[in-house]
Amino acid sequence: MSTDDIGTNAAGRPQPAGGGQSGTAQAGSAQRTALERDARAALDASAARLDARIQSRLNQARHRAVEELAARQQRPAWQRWFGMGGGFGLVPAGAVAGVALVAVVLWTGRPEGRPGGMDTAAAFEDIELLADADALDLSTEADTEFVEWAALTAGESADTAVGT
Amino acid sequence: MPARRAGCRALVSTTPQARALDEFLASIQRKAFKIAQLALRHEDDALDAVQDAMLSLAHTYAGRPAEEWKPLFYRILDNRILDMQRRRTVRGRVMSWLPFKSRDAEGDDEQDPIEQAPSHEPSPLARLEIDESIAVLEQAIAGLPDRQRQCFLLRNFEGLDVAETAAAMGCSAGSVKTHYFRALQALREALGDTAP
Repeated sequence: MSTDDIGTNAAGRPQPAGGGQSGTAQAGSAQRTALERDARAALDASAARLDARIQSRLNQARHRAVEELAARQQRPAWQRWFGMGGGFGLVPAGAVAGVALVAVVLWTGRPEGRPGGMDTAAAFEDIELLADADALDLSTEADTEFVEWAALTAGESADTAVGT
Repeated sequence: MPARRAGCRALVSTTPQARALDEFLASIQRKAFKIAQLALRHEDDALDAVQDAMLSLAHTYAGRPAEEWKPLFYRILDNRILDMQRRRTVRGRVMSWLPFKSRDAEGDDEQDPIEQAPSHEPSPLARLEIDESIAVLEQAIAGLPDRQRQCFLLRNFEGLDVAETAAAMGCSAGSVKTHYFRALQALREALGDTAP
């Protein structure tokens, strides 16, 4: 066996064959390997002898994690998307409500044939504002008068743009 | 079979990913507990850390390829351990000012049927000999610096390769090798004549 041959030690790690090492280094390598092997065996024995209480708690924790994953995966896609059913969704419900409101404003405020430059830009700004978490917090605090005013103003500004 | 367990198995059996996650967590839960226990030196804290890591993996990383789960899980577990160690440090400073006893010292009146179950352990003398050797080794490992202990346990106990260990520890492969070498040196010094 040449010095270029690479074998593996008990821990499965690459270890060059002998020949190039001194006796002390070889003994050191052998000692480290034995230490690793025995440490592994002792830790495995300790893990295998966990008492029933610990094993029960670990099983309960595992089941809970898996149950939550399976339950989340079992929900319809639209529920997962909007975070319903106790989990977390990809789109906050408030942002959805805000987008829906703006869509209603645009639908009711734009008769056919009208150019959409100014009110479209305003609508996009409204979407950004309503999608903002802070803005949503304000809107959820029953500031309905402001929302109604915003909707009314959007309609009035569109009428003004047509007249100019 | 209790209704909850039947419900759990029914849910698990319907999603391949949940089944795969269940198998993975079952394969690592004991070692994960031992690693956490050696770091925290407290069984209940170790259980909490492992549970938190399991939930976090299921919530956030279950969609990742299964071969990434092990280093991810141990990375999460290490973060939980660090959080607990920091909270323990802060709590210790606060509690040192307070005169009342901890709740653990008062004991627990509830009987755990699992704990009362008969055990199939070896004879008391054999158990004592095994316990002593394991205790000596665990004490030496627990006394290692945090990074050396983590590296040694992930490489030697859990069997992660250098790349996986580096991912779990958030360091380079070179750092892993350095930590591991130093851990071996420290263990040899700590174990002295008892080292094989």
